Amino acid sequence: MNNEELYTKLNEVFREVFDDESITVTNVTTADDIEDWDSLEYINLIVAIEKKFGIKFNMGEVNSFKNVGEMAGSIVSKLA
Amino acid sequence: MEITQASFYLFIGLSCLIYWLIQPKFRWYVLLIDSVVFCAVNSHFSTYIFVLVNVSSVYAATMLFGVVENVKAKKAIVTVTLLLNVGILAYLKYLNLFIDSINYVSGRFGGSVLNRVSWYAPIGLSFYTLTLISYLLDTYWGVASVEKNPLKLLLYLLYFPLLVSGPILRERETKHRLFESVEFDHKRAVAAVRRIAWGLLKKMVVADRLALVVSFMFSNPDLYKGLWVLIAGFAFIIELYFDFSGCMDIIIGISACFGIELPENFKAPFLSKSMQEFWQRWHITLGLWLRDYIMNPILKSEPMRNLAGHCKKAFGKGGKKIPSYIAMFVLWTAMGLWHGNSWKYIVGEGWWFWLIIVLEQVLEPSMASFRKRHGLEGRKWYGFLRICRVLLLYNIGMLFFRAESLASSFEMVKNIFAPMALRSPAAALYDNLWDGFGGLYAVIVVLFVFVLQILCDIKTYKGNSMQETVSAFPTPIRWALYFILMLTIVVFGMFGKSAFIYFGF
Repeated sequence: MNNEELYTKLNEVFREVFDDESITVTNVTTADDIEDWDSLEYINLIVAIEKKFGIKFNMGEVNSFKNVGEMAGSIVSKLA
Repeated sequence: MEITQASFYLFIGLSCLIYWLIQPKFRWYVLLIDSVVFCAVNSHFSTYIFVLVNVSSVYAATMLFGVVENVKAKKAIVTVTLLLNVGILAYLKYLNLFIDSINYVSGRFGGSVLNRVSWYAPIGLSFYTLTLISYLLDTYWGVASVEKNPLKLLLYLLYFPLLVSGPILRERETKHRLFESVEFDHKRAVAAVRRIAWGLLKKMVVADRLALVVSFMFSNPDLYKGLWVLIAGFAFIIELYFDFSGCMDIIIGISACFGIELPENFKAPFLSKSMQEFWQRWHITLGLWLRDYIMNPILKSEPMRNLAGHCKKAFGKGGKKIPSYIAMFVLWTAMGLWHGNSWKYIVGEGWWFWLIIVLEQVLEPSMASFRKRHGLEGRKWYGFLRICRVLLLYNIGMLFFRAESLASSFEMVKNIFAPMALRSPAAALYDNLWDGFGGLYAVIVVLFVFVLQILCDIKTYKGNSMQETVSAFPTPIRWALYFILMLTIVVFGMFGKSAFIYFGF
């Protein structure tokens, strides 16, 4: 999966979870950039990403992602 | 040895001198010796065994993670180590809560009464246990590196400034700083001493004075009714803020004297516009710990995901929030329990704030449309009203913290609605406290420091730093301010008064 495909899928997940079709994420997107992204929606987002890509994050990873770029990096390493 | 005593600063001064004079690679040994001495001096010798078990069990478990490859075996190791350390915390801190609860229930049925127990706990047990759990779980999850040197691990878990009142550390954020070779920086050293002095001023000049007022008002509930209860509560939250944030200023300043930066625990909490925001700004490292190690794992667990699915089907989109309210309930119960071994903490520090935050979340869509409809968003006066609302609700929760018991907490809340007298309570305050408080000059100084703290908080809230502002002042003005600061502590400081409220947690 190349970077473009990865972010296309990530955008689909973000738009579905936050119910906002205008969202476009990049590797530097953080919780500050999306209005409804609080700690509760964050877990919903993580679970939706796991389902979409067929992967599992452990809690250590969930607690340490600082931005979408780190999340994407972890997805790529799990799919490799 | 308390951190407001001169002997402590002699200890720090001597340690700093040795620390900066020796070769960088040996510096952490100074911190290790300091930490062991500080822990030993401030803990009863009967508790040393618990500290040893805490540190050695975590060391052994994390070393085994590198050897054992079987996933189930690793899970068993982390579970046993976790239970052992949480068990020590529960045994030393919460056994009396358990006994009291059993006695209450059995008393209702005329059963026998268990005796309460009395023993010592190591200094900073509640703080270092959380740091230790965080390290254990993060190494298990593979997001923290295993420390192979047991002495370095001992220092990380028992770093002495943190034993007083935290903050609670994360391996990936702080541990490396203890062993880095940083150069001595004159500006950093001055800023560190300035921060210590500011913390001492907040604690010894303001918090310890307000403690007199708070103690008097809370011990005379028959006299202070109606609005007086809220005034007493307000005095207490100001005392607590100046006490705890003053303590953090001292701890962060002391650590900076050794060139080690610690995370902040307060970011202008009293300017928050919602209770959720308040708790993101008050005791920050505890809130983040509870979120990452209690709430998030519960929310991500399979049963909660299933429940979220069912709730969404049954109640629509809003239903998916129900599991998060359940997870938050566990978080806030833990928050209450962490504060002490009494039901008053669980109710006041835990469930009360859970209720307020859940209500805020449920009502937020309606409130947001109300603000939009009436053009209130961004209006300063409306923002001020929201701040007052948070302070009032926080005030009520903290009545439970300060009151003697759960029953007296409810009595105080009931007293808010009782008729109040005006003159006799005010006269009693004046007659009993005016001299002890220090008279008119002391009142002026306390008010002045209070206003200064508000200005600092406004700067912090806007993302700026008062430290940087002061650093930019011309040298003569800066040193004149330092002189006034030190003189104020010497003249108005309440020497030999109470320990920090969070000391010994």
